[in-house]
Amino acid sequence: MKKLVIAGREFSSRLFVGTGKYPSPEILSKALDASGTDLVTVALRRVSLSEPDPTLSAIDFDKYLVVPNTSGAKDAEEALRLARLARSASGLDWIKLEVTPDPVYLLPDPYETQKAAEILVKEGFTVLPYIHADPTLSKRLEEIGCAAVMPLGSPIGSARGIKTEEFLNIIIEQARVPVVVDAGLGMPSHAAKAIELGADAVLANTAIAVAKDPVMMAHAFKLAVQSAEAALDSCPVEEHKTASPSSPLTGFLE
Amino acid sequence: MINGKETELPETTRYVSEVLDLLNINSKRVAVELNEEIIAPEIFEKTIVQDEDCIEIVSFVGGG
Repeated sequence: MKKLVIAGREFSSRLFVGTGKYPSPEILSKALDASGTDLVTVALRRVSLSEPDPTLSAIDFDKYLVVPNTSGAKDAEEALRLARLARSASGLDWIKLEVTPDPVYLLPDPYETQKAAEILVKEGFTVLPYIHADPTLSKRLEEIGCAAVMPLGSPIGSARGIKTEEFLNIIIEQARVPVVVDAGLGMPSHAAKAIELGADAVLANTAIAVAKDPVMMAHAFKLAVQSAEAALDSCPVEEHKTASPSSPLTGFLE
Repeated sequence: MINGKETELPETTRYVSEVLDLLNINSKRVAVELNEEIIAPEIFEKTIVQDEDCIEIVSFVGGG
């Protein structure tokens, strides 16, 4: 496969990992290491005045590109506020734009996402928008300058895998920016599937964090993504409708 | 008001940086909003806080 480059930055791994919901900072740190990832996501929240959040200490800001998300934003205005605060805190302009007004399915609001993306791009952010697998929206966001698009596989945390294949295929076919399949992955095979479909990368959080053994699962996801990359590099057999015998058609016993 | 909670600070508190110190908050990787305006980290030590001000102090936590 061609190298993975987003906004001029090269990534050696096509697996991105979220840092939420891990059982402990130690396990988070080990899982990130086992995953081989270059990019992790974080959220932005009020600092607890009583108990400091130990997560930050588990993330090596020198080893990974740490991309804040705008999770919690229900509309463009909230997303803008979070993005600007995130930039102030991190000094970096990468942002995963996430606008999810409905708490039940956490599906991204396309209108508010586009509204926020337009402004964030103008303000110099490197915007990675989280969207439904909507090819039209994907093109719009690419045209206004987003650095990648992040269409969902299925609802966040649902572990249901790739339920949007038909439309992911269209996005992958038409996109001129990297496509990162994000949300809903549950098993390594889901990640492999996304890469085999032609996605440039995948992002997994719950699948790893909430597995009983997150470190082992992170390793499994790493292998799955590498496996899919190797498969594509080996120029796989195309699908046929009819059979094609694997054993010779001569020398049969009479 | 700090992070949604009415908070009393010593009379002598003047600057954002002092507020962070008082609350034992490391200013690294922290963003501050004072009365809905983001305060750049470079000026934490110069930005004055007053009675009745509304401060939000945020930082990164685990997330997807």
